[in-house]
Amino acid sequence: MEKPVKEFNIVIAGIGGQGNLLISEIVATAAVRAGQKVRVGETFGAAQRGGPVASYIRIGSEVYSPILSPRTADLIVGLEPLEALRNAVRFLRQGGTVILNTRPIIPTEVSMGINRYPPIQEILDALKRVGAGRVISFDATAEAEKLGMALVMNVIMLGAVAGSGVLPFPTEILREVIAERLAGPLLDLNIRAFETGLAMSKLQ
Amino acid sequence: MSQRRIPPYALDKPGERVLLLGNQAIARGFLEGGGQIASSYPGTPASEILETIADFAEMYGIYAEWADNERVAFEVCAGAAVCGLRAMCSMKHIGVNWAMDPLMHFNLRNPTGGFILVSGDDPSQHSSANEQDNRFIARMACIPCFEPSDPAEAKDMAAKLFEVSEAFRLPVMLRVTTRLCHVRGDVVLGPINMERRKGKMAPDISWRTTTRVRDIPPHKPLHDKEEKIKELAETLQWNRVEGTGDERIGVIASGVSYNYAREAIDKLGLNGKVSLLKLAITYPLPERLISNFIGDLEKLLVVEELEPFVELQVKALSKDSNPKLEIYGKLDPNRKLIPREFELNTEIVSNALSDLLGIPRLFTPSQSGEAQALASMVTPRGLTMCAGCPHRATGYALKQALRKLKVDEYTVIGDIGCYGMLSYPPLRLIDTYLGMGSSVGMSQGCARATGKLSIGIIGDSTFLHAGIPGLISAVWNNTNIKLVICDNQATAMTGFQPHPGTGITAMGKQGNKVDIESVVRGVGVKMVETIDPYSVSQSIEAFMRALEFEGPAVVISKRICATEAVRIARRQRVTLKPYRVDPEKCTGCRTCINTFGCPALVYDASKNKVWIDPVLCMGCSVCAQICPFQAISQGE
Repeated sequence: MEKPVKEFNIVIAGIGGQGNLLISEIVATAAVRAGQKVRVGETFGAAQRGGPVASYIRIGSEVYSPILSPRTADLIVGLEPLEALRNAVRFLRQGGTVILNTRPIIPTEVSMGINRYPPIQEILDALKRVGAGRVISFDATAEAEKLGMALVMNVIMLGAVAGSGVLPFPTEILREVIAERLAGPLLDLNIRAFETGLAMSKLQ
Repeated sequence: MSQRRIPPYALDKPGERVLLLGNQAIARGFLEGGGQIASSYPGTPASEILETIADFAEMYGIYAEWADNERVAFEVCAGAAVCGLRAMCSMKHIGVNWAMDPLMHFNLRNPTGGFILVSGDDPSQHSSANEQDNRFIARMACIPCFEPSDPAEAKDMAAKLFEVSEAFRLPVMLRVTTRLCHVRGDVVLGPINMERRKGKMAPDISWRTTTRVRDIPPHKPLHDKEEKIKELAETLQWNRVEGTGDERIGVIASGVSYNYAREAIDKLGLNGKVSLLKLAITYPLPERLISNFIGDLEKLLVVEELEPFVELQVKALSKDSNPKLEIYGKLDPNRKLIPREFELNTEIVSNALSDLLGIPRLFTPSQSGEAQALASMVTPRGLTMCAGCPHRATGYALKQALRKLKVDEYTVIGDIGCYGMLSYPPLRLIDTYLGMGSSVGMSQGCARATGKLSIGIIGDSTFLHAGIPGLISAVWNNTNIKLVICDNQATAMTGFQPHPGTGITAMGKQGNKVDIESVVRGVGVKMVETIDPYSVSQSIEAFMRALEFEGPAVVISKRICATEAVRIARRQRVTLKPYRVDPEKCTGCRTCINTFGCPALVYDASKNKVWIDPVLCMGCSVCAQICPFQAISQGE
């Protein structure tokens, strides 16, 4: 059993259909297995695909609420840049870590000319202005396409989280949970995705 | 089941610590409490309860089903409970409105089997059309209302409530909210109760074996039960006072709100100054426990989501036990510290406590120009139908038909389902709606009131749930409505549950398929058109014929949900070929985006061209049929 932490807060931000809930379940299961108390808050239902989806994973002995308080996130995992910023503005604590997939998904209102989508460099600058201590960013969707399936982007991002070294439990437990949760014909692909993300994140 | 990994909620491993979703924990409680029958109709946030039970049903000799609507689900469980079996009926808060009619009789029927009604309330309306507080329904029906604070407690409570229900021969309500249903937490598994009863109606229930005496008001025994349940409430293991007893300020918090109150007191460093009473039953209240708790307090904050349900009752109690007590929450007209709308969180409760004690707030929004600038960068992202959604194509064809017929005065009433998003830009097709099935009835009122074209739009599952009586009424009265049934062969919005039109049951068995077109023709609709919305011009023509018909007409727009189609293709290893835009032909007119608006269509302002995001496109072809310059075609 790991040394119990008091409070470690993660936000996984993306849009419906990106596999947000799956990786939040894997992280939380690993934390439980490491002997930690865990609360995960999620909203799903109306947004099938396309709407914003955020999962809050809270790990630690002093955790009760399933919802984060403002400026208390230690880590924000952005599966989509705008959604990462949306959550960082509200939840990132000073010096927190952001891991970002730089591939945007443009809302239709932007294509219609009603709203503006900030360029990626503007988003990266804004994350620093919000107070991010460390930003790990790469095009995880492109990496997933290289592996032959855009869908495994979420597992690449999970690998990047492991590679960042910020999680309060060992990567081995994550690997164990992935092997169980993703058992099936796509397990090898998912393991490769995880290791790709882990390596990408260590490069930065 | 031997072929696959047994999910954590189904493990026969007492003592094992696992991560469970709140809804899975409730389903596990059903298993540990010896539940034998479960029925439900999908509705967020409660859907996963029945899905989970159905998943392990066969393994443990349980029966689980989706019913056609919540009323039927309730009645199925009521039938099982009068025959002595333990039954659980789960639904979203608004679903309970459908079950109200049988509930208001069943509370008088003395079932011998335990009966749990799970009401999934949705503060903040994450996926609901209202925020109603169903604790009032428990009170109206005189049935006890239990509110767990986390998944672990929800599991234990669900198991225990079968015993409580049987002890009082009364249905009980397990009232949960989105932040319980859709929260994952660590849960310690208990032993599975494998008692399997054979159903038989108790002689004292059946009017065939008792004399049905009409002069005894059946409400007296019900009210007597309530008095006895108050005694149970006094010793309920999940009620708890946290504090030393010397505090002068107290907090009462129920259900999930306990977590916010606990964290707020801890973060503000108020242990020793503020005591906390955690309430797990909110009707009827443990009156002695509360009177003792508030007896020596000067100020009390009541923390609960939605209506001031506990606060009202505590106010009444305080008249005897502590008339000078200052009670805050939602009712004091000068100091509303806890909002009556939206869900709560630690920030809200912490700030309420700070204000009550006159100490600085922990959470203050930053007013700096920098914070404002950053916030303004975050473009909103509205809800939308998925790329390739057949509903969008249906809405497009209907709008084009209206345009071609030059109809400019009409009403469109929507219904409950993904197609409700047809009210958003760019289609902006729907005027308004009420609850399930309202498109059929309300459009008849609009037709009578305006004398103009009146259209209703309803989904397949919703039509079978609540639309049929309305359609019968329209046929009977010959009311000139046009009903569009968007048949995507799934209850998509709540997570692709099967429905009678699919013929597949909750336990994955082949049942009998109910054919929507046969139902429509069977009730006597003379004009019925069935279209494939991916065939754009044929769909427009069919809509035009239906709109011009005198009398009730139905257009069934049939095409499987795009997300489901993508999943099936993935399972069958079929690669879907996305469409692409030829930049030579694209003029940047944006007809595709401004009249149709599939999220895979992206406008690049720097080039004045549209491109299609291949990650989102599933190859439905509709945009290619819409493009006035034939610039869109399928890729290789």
